[in-house]
Amino acid sequence: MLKKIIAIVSITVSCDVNAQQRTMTVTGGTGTLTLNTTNGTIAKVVTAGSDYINDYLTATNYLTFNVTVPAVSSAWYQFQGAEVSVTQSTAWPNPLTINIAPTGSGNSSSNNSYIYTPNSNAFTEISTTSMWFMRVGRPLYFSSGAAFTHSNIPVRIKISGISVLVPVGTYNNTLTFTVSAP
Amino acid sequence: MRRFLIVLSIVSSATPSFLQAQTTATRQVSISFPTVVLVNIQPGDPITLAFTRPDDAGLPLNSPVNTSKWINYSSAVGNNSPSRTITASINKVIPNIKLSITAAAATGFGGGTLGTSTGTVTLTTTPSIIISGIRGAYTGAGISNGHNISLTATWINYTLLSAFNDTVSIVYTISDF
Repeated sequence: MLKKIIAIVSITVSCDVNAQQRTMTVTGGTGTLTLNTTNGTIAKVVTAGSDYINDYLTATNYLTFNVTVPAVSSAWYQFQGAEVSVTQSTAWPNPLTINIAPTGSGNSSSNNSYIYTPNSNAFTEISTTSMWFMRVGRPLYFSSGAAFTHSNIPVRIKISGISVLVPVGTYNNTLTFTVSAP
Repeated sequence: MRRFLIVLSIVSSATPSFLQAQTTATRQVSISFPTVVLVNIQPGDPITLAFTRPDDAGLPLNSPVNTSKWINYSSAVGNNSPSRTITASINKVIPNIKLSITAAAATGFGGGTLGTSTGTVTLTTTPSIIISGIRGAYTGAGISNGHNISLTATWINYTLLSAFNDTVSIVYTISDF
């Protein structure tokens, strides 16, 4: 009698978890992205009256995301997906900003899934308030609702507002990516 | 039997909330800005200030004025650093000649906290502030960017009036106040 009860509870818990958890893996960019005039990532100002070149762009695949969306119960009108949000730990002085954008559609592995952004693949400016910059999903009328992974989504970062207007100093930031239900 | 069931109940309610926590990843970004302090005069060619005869007898010489020069600068300062100034001085004083300089308000392609003109200043061998209050700023490079400079020569003592040619150099310096 005791063994039967234990088994029932265990099954109930695991089903609930699988139905809700989105996961992601992020590769690339594991070292600190360091910009300065010493390593040449920022060209020195050598002409009086000039400013720095305003933007720094990473490689188009500086980061690569794999996003896994769990199974959902089948209902043709539902949307099965996940969104990836980002926030920065510290606000930087004006006009310095960090921006992010997917640069490719990734691999849907014949899942009929796709990615979309809040502004037609333009860069999203990151702030200290979390905001989504990429969603992965598919309408269920394309599938049975089985779990899927949308992989190899290339993402680049742009630092804008690199200027003599920014007070002299070093500025650090931590970008936190979070995957969740849309 | 009852105790065991209670334990299971706690586990089943706590586990889902833990596993539903969103999956996260972090990345680090760092950017450094050094001090920048650059000043230049455009165009760089020498200028000539030539007195001309008056149109009518009894009038003074016509004082020459040149407005072809522009001051360009780039400046990056720390939050707690003082503002910067631009000074001008000459390498020598020409007897009986007063050289005056006036920096106009900044125009053109610049941005940031540009400096403010201190008005008309008589040039001497001691540096005089002609622009003050510069912080993080750039004027744009080349003519028609930055502060237009007006240079004027005035004859001081007509009892010593004579024909002559002489050359002076004007030194512009940007520095912390």
